[in-house]
Amino acid sequence: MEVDQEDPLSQVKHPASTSRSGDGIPEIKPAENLHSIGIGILETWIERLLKCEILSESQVMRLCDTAREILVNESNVQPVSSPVTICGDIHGQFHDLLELFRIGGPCPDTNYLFMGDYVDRGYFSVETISLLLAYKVRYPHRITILRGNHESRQITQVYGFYDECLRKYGNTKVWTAFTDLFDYLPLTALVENRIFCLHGGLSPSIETLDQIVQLDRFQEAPHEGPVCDLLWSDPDERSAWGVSPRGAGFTFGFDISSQFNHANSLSLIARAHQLIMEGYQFTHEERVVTIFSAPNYCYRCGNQAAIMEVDENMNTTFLQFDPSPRSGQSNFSRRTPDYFL
Amino acid sequence: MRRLSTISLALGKERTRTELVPFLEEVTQEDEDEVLTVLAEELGGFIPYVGGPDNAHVLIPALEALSGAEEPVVRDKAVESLNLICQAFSTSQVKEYFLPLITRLSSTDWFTSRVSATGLYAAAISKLEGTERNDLLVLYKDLTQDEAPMVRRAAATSLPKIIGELPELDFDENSTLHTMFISQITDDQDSVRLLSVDVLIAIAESLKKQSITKYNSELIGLTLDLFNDKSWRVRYMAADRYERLARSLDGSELREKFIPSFVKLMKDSEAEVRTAISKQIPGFCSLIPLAAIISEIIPNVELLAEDSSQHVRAALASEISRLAPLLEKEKTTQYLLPTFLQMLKDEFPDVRLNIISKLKIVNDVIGIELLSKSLLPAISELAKDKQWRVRLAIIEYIPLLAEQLGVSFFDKELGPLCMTWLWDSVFSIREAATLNLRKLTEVFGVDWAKDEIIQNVIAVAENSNYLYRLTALFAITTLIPVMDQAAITDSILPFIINLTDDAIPNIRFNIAKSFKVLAETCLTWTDGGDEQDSATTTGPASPAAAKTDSASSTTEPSTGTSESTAATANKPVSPLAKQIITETIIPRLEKLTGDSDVDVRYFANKSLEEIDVLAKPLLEK
Amino acid sequence: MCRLTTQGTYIRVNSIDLLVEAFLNKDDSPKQIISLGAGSDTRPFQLLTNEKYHNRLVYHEIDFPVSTSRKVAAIVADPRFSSAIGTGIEKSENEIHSETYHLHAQDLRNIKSDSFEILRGMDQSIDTLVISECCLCYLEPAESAAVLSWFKSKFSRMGCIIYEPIGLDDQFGRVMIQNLAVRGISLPTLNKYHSLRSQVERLVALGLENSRAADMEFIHDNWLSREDNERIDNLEFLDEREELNLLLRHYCIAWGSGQSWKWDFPENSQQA
Repeated sequence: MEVDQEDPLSQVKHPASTSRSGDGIPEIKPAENLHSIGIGILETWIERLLKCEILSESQVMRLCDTAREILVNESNVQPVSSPVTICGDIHGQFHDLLELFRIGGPCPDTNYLFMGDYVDRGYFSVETISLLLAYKVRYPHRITILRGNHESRQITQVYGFYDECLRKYGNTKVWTAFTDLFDYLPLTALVENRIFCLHGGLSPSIETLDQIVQLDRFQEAPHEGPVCDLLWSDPDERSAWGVSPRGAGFTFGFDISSQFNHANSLSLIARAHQLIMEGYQFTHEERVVTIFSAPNYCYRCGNQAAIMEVDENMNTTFLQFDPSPRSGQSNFSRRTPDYFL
Repeated sequence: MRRLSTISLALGKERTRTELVPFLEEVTQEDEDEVLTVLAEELGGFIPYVGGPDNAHVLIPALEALSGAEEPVVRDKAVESLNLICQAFSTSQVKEYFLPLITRLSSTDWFTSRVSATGLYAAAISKLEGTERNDLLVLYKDLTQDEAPMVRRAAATSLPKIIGELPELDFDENSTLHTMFISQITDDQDSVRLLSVDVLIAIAESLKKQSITKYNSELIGLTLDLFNDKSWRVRYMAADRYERLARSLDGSELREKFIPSFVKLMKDSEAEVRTAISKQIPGFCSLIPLAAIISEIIPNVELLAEDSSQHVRAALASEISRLAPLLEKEKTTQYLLPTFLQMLKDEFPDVRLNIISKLKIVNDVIGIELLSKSLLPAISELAKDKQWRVRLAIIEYIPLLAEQLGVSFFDKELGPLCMTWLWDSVFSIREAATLNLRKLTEVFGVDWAKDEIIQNVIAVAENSNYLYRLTALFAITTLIPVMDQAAITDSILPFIINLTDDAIPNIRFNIAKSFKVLAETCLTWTDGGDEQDSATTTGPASPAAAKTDSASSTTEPSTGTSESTAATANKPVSPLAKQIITETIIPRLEKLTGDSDVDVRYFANKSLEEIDVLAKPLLEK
Repeated sequence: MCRLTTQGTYIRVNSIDLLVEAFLNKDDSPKQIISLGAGSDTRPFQLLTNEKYHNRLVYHEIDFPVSTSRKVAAIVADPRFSSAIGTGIEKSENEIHSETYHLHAQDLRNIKSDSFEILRGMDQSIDTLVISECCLCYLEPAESAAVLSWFKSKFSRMGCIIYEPIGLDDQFGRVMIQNLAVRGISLPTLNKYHSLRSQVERLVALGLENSRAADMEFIHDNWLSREDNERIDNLEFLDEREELNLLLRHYCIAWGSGQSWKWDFPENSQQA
């Protein structure tokens, strides 16, 4: 098999050298609590991540430990205030995440709500999830990060995150730490009691938000049942519930969204999970909006990305954007995507 | 595998030679490509571990096996490592170990080893002389004529390096080099022919260095063959290196032979070729007379500016500005300006962006006034461009325009635009617009800013969308260091106080940051009066302003606080500043430290601490 | 990535099988199939061992010598293949011939002038199906047209199946062309035959009046059985559903025949 010159092996050196040199910050035992990662240290981590440099293995461990303490206290239906900017899939396209911040404004000046799928497919899943977690720990009230179907042990072993961790750290400890943490990510969020946000969609086993609050989410994303559906389902033109071609979750029709929004006094369901060429798309007579924030998904789909700004009066504005000029460079996308020829 | 060096250190030199290296030889037969790649790379650094160059030959068998791997990355690393070993070898070692290796690899049945062999000749040739060197060249010739195209490609790729190692080039007909080159340039595979372009450059540059001119006309003939090759990939490669080819063959024939072929490539049927040649225009034009540029090249530049391929137009746009210095003012205005204007309206954003980002070069030649007069309509158009990076490029160009245009012309033509950008939907544009306002204030002075900007920005404080209020706050905060006392007390302070109770925490914690900038600026006011005033009207001389010039963030424009206050430390702080800090800023910040939002409390505390450090020594005076 | 590729291959192989079977089963007369750029395809071995086609099918494959020599080695090495091609086997380094199977080592680009001779074992009088699965798209449009014209001029009873990517002149197509270019692959026909309509027109211009085309998404949804599709869907999570559909929309099958015979195939097409 032809392997590209810049592929994995040239990367192997990198983490080793970082962990050796460190960043001059004294290491603190991972067992210590939230307040033990000082704000100053967090800010140097964020600064480094913004330059697309990964944290050391022990720093990732501390980051995950601290993030878990915050996330464990968040609800399955995490309340979020407006104004907030709502974003869809990122999928390891780190340079496009930076582009997203250039469009929407930096954290913490802009409040963000990400609806999952931070890892897999793109080449910088480690950098992407590390940065988002660092923001979450530094500014827990300014950013909300939900779970996507890719925040799972099983899926990340198929779609690239596991391999990337192994390549960048030389072992799987970091992958284990991240995927253990994924079990703590909230499943859904609720903006000002009006906009219900989640990665996938509705579930035939769920009629009210209260039922979601009652779910036990601290586990590996299951293959079926309500938690699985929230992460996997898609809206569909056909009415009622349908079999999902993805092999998990369901498809749900206009009637289902309509009933759900009415029963829970919602104005809109915002979700991600599906590639949209224009970056966002309303369905079900504007009861559901799909937001997808990975431009030129997988470096080949040619799609635009979008984010949805919700202001304090609950007015929404969509901002579309194209890939960051850097992510298009060929020395970056180490492997051009496959086409079945 | 990465720890091999540690293992070998632990084993010692003897056991590394007798145990580790033979073990690694076995590994080469079975392991995965990733492991083999690391092995091939590590072995290159192994010379010290086996006991220095004298024993380095023990590494050859393992690397020889890796040189035959299927995986190109493994082979490349093995070749690199073998070359390192060759460098460390004495001449006699090269003869004893390296030459037999080259011979073996060059005659292996499977093509992968022969591909690797091509990468080893240059290192060996650099160590050898006379017949031995010539024998190697003859052996290499066989590789350049190998039956497998992969080997011929590799041989063509490595040939320039070998040529670089030859002190005297013999390019007579029937010489080894001549035979090799002719077989490459006439190969039936275009993938081989296109590599002969770099070989030709290597030959021509070597000959030029050795002051040998007798082959020039033959080489020019061969170059023209490449320009006319039937495969566009070959023409592309030749077009891409046109300037280097032309330079290396510099001579009397250049003008008459090369200009027509250049023009022909500009009209090539393949867009890729036209893209490549477009990038060569200024470089090639610097080699030919001005009259020829105008009569031969310019008409075709105009055609390329209307090319059907956007990539051709974008390539042209990125380089065409560099023609201006060659044409000088009058002819640039006459011949190039119309093309610029046309390309600024191109439907493909990269074309517009490439033209804008190189305008400075044109500006230096024809002067801003001429340029701006013809450009203004285009700029107004681009200011609303769909692509935010095009808008950004325009914004960054504005202060330069402002400086040259003067205030009245600027206000009329560009002032409104600068305000529009402030409310752009893209954050980066709003940020750039904010910095732009400050740069304009530094150009036009505080009074201009008061009249044109402050009132307009402050009016937005009532807007019901927090994004407008936040942007206004960023803009005002960025302007604070270049504002005078009156502007601050009359307009800015009330604006900031008004937002202290904003419902949105993001506004409140930015207010906390703004208070610190405000305090910092107040501390530069001295008792005697308002030195800010005179400073800003004559230019960006205020210490705070100079200091913050480089800061890219709008939220925390000032970082080096100790320096800016040191400049005024020996003068007493004005009573008004003291009053504002102690009666307005500090109490309001203290109130924010009890805010319901944790981030507001954090930034309020942070600003209080910073103000305390800054102000204490001054206020106590 | 693998998941997408296997799905794509599954859909391609099954749908071309349907067309090939429709061709072979339309009547009992002798048939020949000529596969261009056959690579490591195993379709001939399956068809030749199928009793239904005994004594009435001859299969030709044409590819570069470099590729056919590998296939010769593979056939010789595996008794399942060598027994499939029947009796009368003659082989050289890069060709193999039997009564029912012929592997020709040829650069297709040589097959374009009238003077090119009919290859060994080819019968100009019988129903003939020329298949190009991602082969002609690597040639310049003029060359691929010349190759098809040659076959049409020599085999009056010729039909044709073309499977290849279409650019569609949209964002995905443009990115696909760029990405392939980075890998050094240029598919000149991607622009020329960029839509279903242009693919059909290409075949009609060749003299195959009864030509149709459909993209692979349509084919997946309409040709393959729903049960099979659901079974495949449930083998594994397929998260990249939209991506798969995008890819499928950018690949098509165009098939056609002239006056001599008509395709007895359900009228399942998007473009006629």
